[in-house]
Amino acid sequence: MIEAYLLHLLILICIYAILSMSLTLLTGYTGMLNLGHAAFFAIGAYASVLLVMAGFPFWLGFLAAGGVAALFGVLLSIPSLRLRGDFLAIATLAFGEIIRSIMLNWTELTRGPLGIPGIPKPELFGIVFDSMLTYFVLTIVVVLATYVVLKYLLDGKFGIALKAIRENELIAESLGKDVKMLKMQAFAISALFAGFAGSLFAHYITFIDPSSFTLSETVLVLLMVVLGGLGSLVGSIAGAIILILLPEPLRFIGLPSSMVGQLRQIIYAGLLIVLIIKRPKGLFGEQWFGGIVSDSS
Amino acid sequence: MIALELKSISKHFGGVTALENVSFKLEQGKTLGLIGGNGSGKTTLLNVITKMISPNSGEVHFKGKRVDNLPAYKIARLGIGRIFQIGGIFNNMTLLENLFVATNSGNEEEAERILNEVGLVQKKNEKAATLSGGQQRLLEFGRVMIRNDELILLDEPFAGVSEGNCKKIEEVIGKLQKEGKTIILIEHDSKRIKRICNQLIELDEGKLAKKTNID
Repeated sequence: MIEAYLLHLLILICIYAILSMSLTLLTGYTGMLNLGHAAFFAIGAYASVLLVMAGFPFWLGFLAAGGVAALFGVLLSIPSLRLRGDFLAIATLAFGEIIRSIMLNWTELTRGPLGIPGIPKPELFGIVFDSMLTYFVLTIVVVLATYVVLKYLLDGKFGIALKAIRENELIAESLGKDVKMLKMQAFAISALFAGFAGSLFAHYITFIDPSSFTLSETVLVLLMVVLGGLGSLVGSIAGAIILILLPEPLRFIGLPSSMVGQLRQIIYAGLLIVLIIKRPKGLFGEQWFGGIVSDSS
Repeated sequence: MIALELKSISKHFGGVTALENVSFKLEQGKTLGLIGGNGSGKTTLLNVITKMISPNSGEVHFKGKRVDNLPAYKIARLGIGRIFQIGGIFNNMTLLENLFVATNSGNEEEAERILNEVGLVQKKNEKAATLSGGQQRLLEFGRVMIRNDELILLDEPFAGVSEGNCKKIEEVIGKLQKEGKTIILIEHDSKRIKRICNQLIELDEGKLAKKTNID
């Protein structure tokens, strides 16, 4: 029993680590505040589930989850290319709400607020990942792959170009960087991995509905990114670990469950306040979060 | 050979005329001094050449090819580099990273050699924000050097810089001149400008007022 509980937490940490790493590429490295990240998570989840439940194999659903999310990433990047700082944040916020509204109202496809139950566990190379342990192995493999790919991209010239855009777009352009194309690629790659996370989430929980992909989900992932430190992959993983584990002790002190949910929000808020006062750059970060929101350059 | 040619460039901001019918040719390997009072259009002229703003009319030609219809990043890739009046560096990135943005090679040895030439190699792994104003300009020089830009636009590189760093900057400009680079320099100190430049253009309220050759 305790083993299952711990594995459950580990699987959640893995899924959120993928999400927070994907968001830090966009927000931490490129300096684009995305308040619609949960939409990519949702698109991945629905794409994978709809395909697998239509009879396609899991690997196809998983790849399509990333692919479709990346496509939406490119679409969102087009209107966003002219926006910076808080204006960009508002545009991405609107995008997240549009996607959530579509999920709620396109009932022929998504069953709307009823959600999609009975999602099958994934099957790969004849192995069915139906136990907690095998599912954990699957998610940790995806986490490691995500880390390796993003680390390779971000340590190279792509990552340096993204950081230059975060620092000053005009100067980056004057040094020959195709800023629009780089931003579009950043959106696409970020959405790709969020889509993968969505697929893993849906096939783990085996039920999805639009309430799993709200703004508060984005805010939680953003908090992981900020806590870990902008522009740090290790920080993003650390942020996911801390924020998944932090509210867990509340389960054991015998409070009514209606209070636990509220207390969790208070803990997140309190943590954020302490963070801003004591360590504004986050645990492993390079830059203060406020710098990307109020940056007018 | 003509490196840069401007053909009747005009730029208005609302009702304000920043540049009016400015034309000139600049030969390869020459250094042009750009002078004029505040608001005479000097920086706007550099912005037009690098396409940070589009002119209302006129053409810009670089090495015989029309470039004013290209986006800014493509113009930069042709070999036009720039040093900004303020805020031209990436503060939260290290000196090496600042150079790596400018080049695609990612070659650390080459970057260190360039940093050595501008006298900053001992700070290679520090954040650029820790540099003094003059050192920040020198880092920008490092960027145009590693890019091997052919046309280099300098927007008041000596402003607010200590005497020691001014000397160093002048030395670096001298090196670029020896390598045959074409340079446009905005500068207020008339002694210094006569020491560095081959030609002078004076702008007055956006119009080309005077053109002189210095020998």
